[in-house]
Amino acid sequence: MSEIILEAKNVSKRFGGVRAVEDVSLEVPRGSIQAIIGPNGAGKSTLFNALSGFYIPEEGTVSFNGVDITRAPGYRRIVMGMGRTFQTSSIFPNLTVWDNLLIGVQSAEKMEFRLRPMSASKRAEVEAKIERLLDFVNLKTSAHRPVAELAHGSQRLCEIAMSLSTDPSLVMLDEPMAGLAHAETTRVVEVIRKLHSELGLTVLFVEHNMRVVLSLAQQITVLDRGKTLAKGTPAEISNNDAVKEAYIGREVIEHV
Amino acid sequence: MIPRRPALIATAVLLVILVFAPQIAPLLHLATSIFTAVLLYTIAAMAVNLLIGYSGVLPFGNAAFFGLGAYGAGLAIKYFHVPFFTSIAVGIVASVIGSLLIGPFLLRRRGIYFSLLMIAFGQVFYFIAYRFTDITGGEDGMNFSRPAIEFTKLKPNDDQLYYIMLALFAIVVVAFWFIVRSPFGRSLVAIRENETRAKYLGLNTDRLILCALLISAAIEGLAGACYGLSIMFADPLMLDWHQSGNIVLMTILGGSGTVLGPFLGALIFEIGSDVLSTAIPWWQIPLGALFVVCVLGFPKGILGTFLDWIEKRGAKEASS
Repeated sequence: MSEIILEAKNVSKRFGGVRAVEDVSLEVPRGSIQAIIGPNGAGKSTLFNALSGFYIPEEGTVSFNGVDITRAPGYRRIVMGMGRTFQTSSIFPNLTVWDNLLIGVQSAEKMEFRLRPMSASKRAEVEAKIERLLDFVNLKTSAHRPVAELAHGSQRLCEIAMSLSTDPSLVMLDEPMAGLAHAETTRVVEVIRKLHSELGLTVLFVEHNMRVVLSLAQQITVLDRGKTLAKGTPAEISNNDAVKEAYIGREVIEHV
Repeated sequence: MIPRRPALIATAVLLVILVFAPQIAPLLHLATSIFTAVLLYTIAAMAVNLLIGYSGVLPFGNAAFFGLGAYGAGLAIKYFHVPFFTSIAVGIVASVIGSLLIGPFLLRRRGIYFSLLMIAFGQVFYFIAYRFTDITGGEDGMNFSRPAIEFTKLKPNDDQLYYIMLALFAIVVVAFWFIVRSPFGRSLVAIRENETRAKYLGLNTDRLILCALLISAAIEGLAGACYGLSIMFADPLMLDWHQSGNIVLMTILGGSGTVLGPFLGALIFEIGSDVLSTAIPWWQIPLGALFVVCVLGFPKGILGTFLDWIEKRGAKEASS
């Protein structure tokens, strides 16, 4: 096992004539919690999607646990040990929270093609795992409700639990606080903190909310106009002049 | 939970009708073969339902599988004189081979483009049957006899055929029930609900849809082969996209995403068109109007709407 769990080298991705990400490199050490930030249109989501297989970059390489995954389809990356969430919660809206998790758990058990019912012992094992996931995100009371009926914050927690259901070693969260009310933000921040502290997972997230970024992340990568503007600890980033420059007019850093 | 009693009563009524259909049919001035057709179109509609109702892909062009089943069975009987069940097996194999040929191309697209591609491929089979007159009889279709059952001299008459089909129907219903409740069935529902999320839970969605397509083709090939045996005939219209449309309509009319919805759809469609077409020359207009009402008023189909209603009533009773 290499010390760097996820590594991007000189990644570039264009959309038509627009260079959304240009020559960006990133190293995520195992067991760390890292953030990608930047003003609107900086290329955060594009980079994130290139790392998770949603887009294939034109140039550069992405490797996971030392294996080149630049062109690997998304589902392969999940099988290899990545988990991710989306900016707008990507769930199975008409299914219950339980079934949302069950689909991930049976995928982790490599049973997705199985035509026969699960054996009783396997079923008990799967149910115990779903219970643990529900406990982790505190959604036990809503387990048998369709996810579409839940509040936004609970849907987000359900999605985080889904991303955990496949036993990832790296969890990638795309703007986990997007659209959440303040009280909900606190719940989600706590869960993300637990991903790192209790489960010992590596976490990489994109986020706009600076308060959240500075309180959670150990390392921050700042993108601006598709390029890396700065890298460093929260303290270094909040005192970086170039970063302040990029954020001028948004006064986000000063607010913290 | 769905209350047990209405479901039990409905099942009992259904069973009685199915078991005594050859005795009931003359009382209604219908031929037994209509009930055979209802069973076989139900099987075809269940095959389509696996794709529409459970995987979320719309298989316009599915009649290719129906027709391949009928031609597979018919050609095997006509040129190789195979017995009854062997001809059905040949039909199923022909249909599965057809799905293996077109499946990898279909999987490159989703949504409306999947449907259009499938229509196009389906029409290829239609034109093959249409043009190769020497083998298939071309536009006039192909007559063949109903062969004897394996190791016997019994050539089933219409009533006996009905009961054979009823047995096959029961097997398919039970198998279907197990498939949609299996981990595989759940994976398909995940794709229907949100394919991107399914992928990001580690599911190879292309391969899952391909498997669903193969199973669907096998089931619809069975229906087509049996249909060919029941009317002792196969013609290119069985492969045509009008035929595909009819089967899709039966599925949606009855209720896609429910195990027995297609039965209701096939029953109403087959008996409705039979009764209406003898009564009025413009029978397609009222049938079309019924579909419009169903699609606009009951998008979940007749059975889907009924189940929702029962569930709501059950919830009310539970809370009061």
